[in-house]
Amino acid sequence: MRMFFTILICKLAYFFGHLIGRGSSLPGEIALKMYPDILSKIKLPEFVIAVTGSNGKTSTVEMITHILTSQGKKVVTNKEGSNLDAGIAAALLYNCTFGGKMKADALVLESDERFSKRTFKHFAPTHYAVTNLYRDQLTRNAHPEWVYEYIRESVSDSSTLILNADDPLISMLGKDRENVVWFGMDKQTFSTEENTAVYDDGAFCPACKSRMNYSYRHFNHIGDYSCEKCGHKKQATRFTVTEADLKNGIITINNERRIRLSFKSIYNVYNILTCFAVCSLIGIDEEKIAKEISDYVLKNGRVVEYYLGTSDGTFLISKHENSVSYDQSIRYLVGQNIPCGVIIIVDAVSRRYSTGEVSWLWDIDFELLNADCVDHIYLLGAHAGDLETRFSYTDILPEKITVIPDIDEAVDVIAEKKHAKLYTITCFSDKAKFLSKVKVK
Amino acid sequence: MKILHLFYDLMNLYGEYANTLALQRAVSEKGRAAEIVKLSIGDELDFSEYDFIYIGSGTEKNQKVALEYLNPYTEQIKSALESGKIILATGNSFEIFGDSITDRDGVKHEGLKLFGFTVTEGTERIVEDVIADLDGEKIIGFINKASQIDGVKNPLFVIKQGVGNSSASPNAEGIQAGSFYGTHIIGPLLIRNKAIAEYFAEKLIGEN
Repeated sequence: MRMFFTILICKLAYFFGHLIGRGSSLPGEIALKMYPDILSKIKLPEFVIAVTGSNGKTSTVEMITHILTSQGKKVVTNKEGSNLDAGIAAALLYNCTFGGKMKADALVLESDERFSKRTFKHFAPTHYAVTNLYRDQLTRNAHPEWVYEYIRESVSDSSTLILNADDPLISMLGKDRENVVWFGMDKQTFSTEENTAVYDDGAFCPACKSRMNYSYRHFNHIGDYSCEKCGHKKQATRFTVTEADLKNGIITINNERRIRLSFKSIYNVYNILTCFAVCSLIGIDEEKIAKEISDYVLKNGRVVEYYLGTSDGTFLISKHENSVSYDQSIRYLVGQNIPCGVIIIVDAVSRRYSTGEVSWLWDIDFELLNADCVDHIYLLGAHAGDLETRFSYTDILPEKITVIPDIDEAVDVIAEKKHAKLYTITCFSDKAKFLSKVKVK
Repeated sequence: MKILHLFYDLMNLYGEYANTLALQRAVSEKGRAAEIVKLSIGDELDFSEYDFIYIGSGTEKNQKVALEYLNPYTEQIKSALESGKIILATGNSFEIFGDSITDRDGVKHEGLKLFGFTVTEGTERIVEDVIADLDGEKIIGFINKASQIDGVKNPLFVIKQGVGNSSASPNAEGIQAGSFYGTHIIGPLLIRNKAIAEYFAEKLIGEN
């Protein structure tokens, strides 16, 4: 009876919440208050897939959901941003019968890396993929090793772990464990011998803290590493990007499955690889996975095309407080090699909390924008001054930089300029402040 | 003039390297040149070669590695300070100069024992924007730590908003003893507070 009422209340809250446009976590919060153990009493579908890590969760979950749905499976997933325990509870209970049985073939969950241990205290995923650990929202996450402890405590013995073998910290989760499946990328033309990022989170072995050796890196600490002292090293991978041609946007997995990229970035390659591994492991035909994911355009609004004045623009969502995400956007636009203006907006650091913490600007490789194709750089938002200081420590000429804190005013100024192409880099928290002022295609 | 950026690749969180750049710029604005030398685990250290020694924030594990590495150099550090060399340690790096650090598992790590304070690490993160006062100068920054620091006799800052060394001394932050400066305030400190960069630059030039 207790379960019946909790599910009823949750569904009603969900229904009325939608009517008044409220978020999707509240029904879950109510349910967890009424019946704290309810998630452990639910009859889950055959496949419970969870994805966690710093970057790529939302995109990976969207692609897995797309593939499973295309193969006729009924999938329940949590909405973007509802990745804490309450959001996940809401998604589960809304899609349950009143007897507590989920009406789905698969549950595909994006799980916040710090909340996973709370969510998975109640039930264990059958397949648990961990993408990477980068410096991300350090004002709440401290640093990657701090978050690692939370993820480690969220892992159950019964789950099949699907791990990024190229990330030395994530790989620690697979130590002395049988049911691990590794994915990774072979050496590519763009791989480097040395670290090219501003900081090096791969300098020391996460297991024994001796100096780490790398034979190559794809970016930051992601690559082929080995520790002479304790033997921690990149594991042999079952799912491998054997070739990644980012210029033409084609990757090959395990020497046979060719996939065309709609977004030609190395980070997208990892998301596709994670998705491919998960779908293959639950029995989807690999040829069908490759076909469905080829040219797949993500619907999560991470890339938006727009017009401003006479210029064509591309908006690239880049997470504030996440230097890898910024580096990704900067590398992408420089790689396009089109003469362009670049707009960087830092107004609200976070949409969850108010802070003036901007030390993360120093971890971003802004020097990459010192490229021939970058004609001009516009720095916008309440932290435009902090950005200006940061740029004053690069070799980029000051005459190439315009600082306009007021976003509305800046949009008017930029509209008068002629750029063959514009790129806008900013976060969810500042996205609408810009996109509401331009014409979205 | 030489600035040593010690443990540049070990204690490297929160863009802290920029503190050395801000100091270098402040020195150059006063018409002098400062060279930044980066050293870390595996390098021989001779503190007498440098005018200014900087160490930044790191993970709790990396802090213990730094502590172990500096242990044999304790006497050298003492004499460097006695001869007026400036040491600035930001984030949890200043904790290693105290009496001991007890980690979240309850294990006690003996510190370099230059100062009498003790450090206790917990499992809760303390994260907060801070405003502090330094002789009438408003200092801004952020604190991101998991530790309580007790027994500091001579704190560096007076906290106006945010957290201090410990819940027992919420208004006192960091430590200053002679030419040793320690604080948990990040920002980077010398970038967001140009007055501090200029203060050190003046000290450096005055002494040379």
